[in-house]
Amino acid sequence: MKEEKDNTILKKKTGFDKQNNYKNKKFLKGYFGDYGGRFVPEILIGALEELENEYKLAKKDKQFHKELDYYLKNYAGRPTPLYFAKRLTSYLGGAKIYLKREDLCHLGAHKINNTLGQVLLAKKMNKKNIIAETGAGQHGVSTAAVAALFNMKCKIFMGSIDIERQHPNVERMKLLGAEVVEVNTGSKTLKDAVNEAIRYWVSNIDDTYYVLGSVVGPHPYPTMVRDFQSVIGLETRKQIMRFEKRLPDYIIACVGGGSNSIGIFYPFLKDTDKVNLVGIEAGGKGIESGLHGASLTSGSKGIFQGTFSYVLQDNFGQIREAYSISAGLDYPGVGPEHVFLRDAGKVKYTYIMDDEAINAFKTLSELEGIIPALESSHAIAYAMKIAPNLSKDKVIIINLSGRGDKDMESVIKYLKSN
Amino acid sequence: MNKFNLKKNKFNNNINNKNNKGNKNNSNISFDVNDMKNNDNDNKFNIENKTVIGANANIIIDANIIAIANNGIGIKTIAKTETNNFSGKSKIDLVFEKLRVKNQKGFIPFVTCGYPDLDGYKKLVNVLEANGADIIEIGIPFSDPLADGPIIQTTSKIALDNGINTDIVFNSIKEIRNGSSIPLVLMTYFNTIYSYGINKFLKNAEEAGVDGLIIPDLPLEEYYNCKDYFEESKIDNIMLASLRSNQERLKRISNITKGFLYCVSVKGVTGVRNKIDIEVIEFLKRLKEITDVPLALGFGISTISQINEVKKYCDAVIMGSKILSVLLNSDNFSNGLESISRLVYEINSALKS
Repeated sequence: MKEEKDNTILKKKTGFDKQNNYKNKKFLKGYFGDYGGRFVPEILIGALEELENEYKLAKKDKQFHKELDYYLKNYAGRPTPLYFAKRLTSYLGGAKIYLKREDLCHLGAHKINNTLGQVLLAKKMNKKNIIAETGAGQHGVSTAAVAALFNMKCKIFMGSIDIERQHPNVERMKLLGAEVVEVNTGSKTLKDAVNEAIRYWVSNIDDTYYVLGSVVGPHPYPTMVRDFQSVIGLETRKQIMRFEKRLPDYIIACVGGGSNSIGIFYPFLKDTDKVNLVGIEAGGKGIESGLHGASLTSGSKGIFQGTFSYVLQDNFGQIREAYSISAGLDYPGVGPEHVFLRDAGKVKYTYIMDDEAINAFKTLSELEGIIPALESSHAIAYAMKIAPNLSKDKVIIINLSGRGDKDMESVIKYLKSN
Repeated sequence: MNKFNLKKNKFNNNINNKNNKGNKNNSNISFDVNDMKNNDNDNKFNIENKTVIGANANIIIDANIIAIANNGIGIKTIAKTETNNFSGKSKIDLVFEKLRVKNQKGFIPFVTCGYPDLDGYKKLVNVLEANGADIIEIGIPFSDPLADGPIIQTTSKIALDNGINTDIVFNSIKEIRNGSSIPLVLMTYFNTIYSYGINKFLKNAEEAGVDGLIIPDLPLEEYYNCKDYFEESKIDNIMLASLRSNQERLKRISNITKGFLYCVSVKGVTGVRNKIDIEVIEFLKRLKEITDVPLALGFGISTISQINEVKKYCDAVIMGSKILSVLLNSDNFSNGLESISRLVYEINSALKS
């Protein structure tokens, strides 16, 4: 009898099927298949709806695009080059390797693409105060800079562990006029910085705009941040067609929350019969060790920081602490669209461990004179694994999402202790 | 955070010192409650049919209960009240019905399950009931409590460090239910429920004796997605309304909520505050225009004067951080309980007069 009753509930319910899968409903906005949504306290709903509406208007607004394009070109330095890494290619002896040089963006990472878009939106919405979270510090630095550019007050939330390992970026944010708020709760890293930023936002909802730095969080952030970042993929597409007269065979990008990867993947999603899209998570000290940031590889479905996605958690739904040598990948969640893309077979996700990333960091520096961010080093490491086994007519593009100056201390410390 | 951790350490040290001096029953538990027990060695609360009252004393320590007894207000006979549930009314509905008849307002204190430890939390629940709480809200600790300020973050962290999980929460509620029939409402973030299995969670909660559920990160749209689960369950799903919700939305929320409507009194997270924003009164008035459902005001309610300001406009007040902060700031558990008894007694007097 009891079981029968359960089945009736299961048949009647609309949101989850028998396997606890979230079903998409037409009236729900902001879902990627089963994933996404808006799991936030009621007080944020109004603000998120307002943001969604403003963003929809901005998307159609030619003036907004003109302004954004102007700043992307003249302030951020776009388009960034697609660079043929000749020495790395011949060293690996296989496929041709190109680097999408997001490390050459103003402030040293792809984060500025999103920050410019969102702060311009905040300006349109007449918000006077800007807040943001940061892990590696790149999103914090770029938010602080754009806030300075538009004369807005800026607060950056950063975990105390990240403050220690990304110290140069803390000094940069302060120099740019931002207040850096040290977060000492939980794991004291990116996830806790997001929590604290959301709590602050809830408490200052009327005049504050929250510049979320990745394709995570409640709707509309995953969609909006993806749109602002897809400039990476749009440029890459034009550039590779010019150089190779064809689409690449592989595009490789690292995945923490997943903004640089979705940015380069998105304009290629219709070509996945020809192009292999590969997202690289932080394998840390190995999946078995439990010390990693690989939510897609070893996480499970859950609701975390406002969205239904994959998350590292225990049997009772408590969020586990992530780990990675790179602060930007040290996050127990992942953008909901990535889970959707994986389930749909559009993108393949795998992971790279700390030591492989460090090796890639050194290799690219030595061979090309380019110091990559530790985050991007994960993507390079994966390319180094597969390139030798591919024929010389194959083409790999790596999204070099940021530069590694900020990581010098971490790397030196790692090399000393290993 | 640091401040609270320090406090906690201080707390432990004091207790340990004290125990070293006098109490041989010293254990490794941070909060030793043996020194407040008279003769009851059993963990189970023996409070059925026991009237907590004192001749002229202010504080009574009877078995595990501290209750303030004065002027007859706030003294409660704790007995297994009748739970015959006719006409589809929930226990929470009946509480508010009674309060309305008497023209009184309800008091809903919040505790974190497993803070200061499993035993202490159960004692705290009993003390709250003995001093006149009408409904008790029990928080399942969560690793990332987005809607909570520093105090409940701290108590949640301590509870998780004490090894609390969802099964333990249900067991503890069963134990509380052995001696009490006060309506119990669980507060939990949605991932706790989802990862447990929504169906299984609701079934186990119902079996344990839970009467209501508050999910701060399940707003209207997401609730619709799994509403069949809640509609099939006997547990009241209590929705939250915020100062920023527009009138149309408030209508939809009040139509869905069961038991009462949780009205969030601040633009912010839980915590201790001293003032009531003028907006809050307007907010409650707006709600009264559109719904008959009982309104319980929570988040940032900490003082008697706040309560006196708002009680005319709502049906109950919810208080969490203030109560837990009393315990966090006391030098030992029994002193903390004593202060809480006094506080709860005073609040309840204000609400019942």
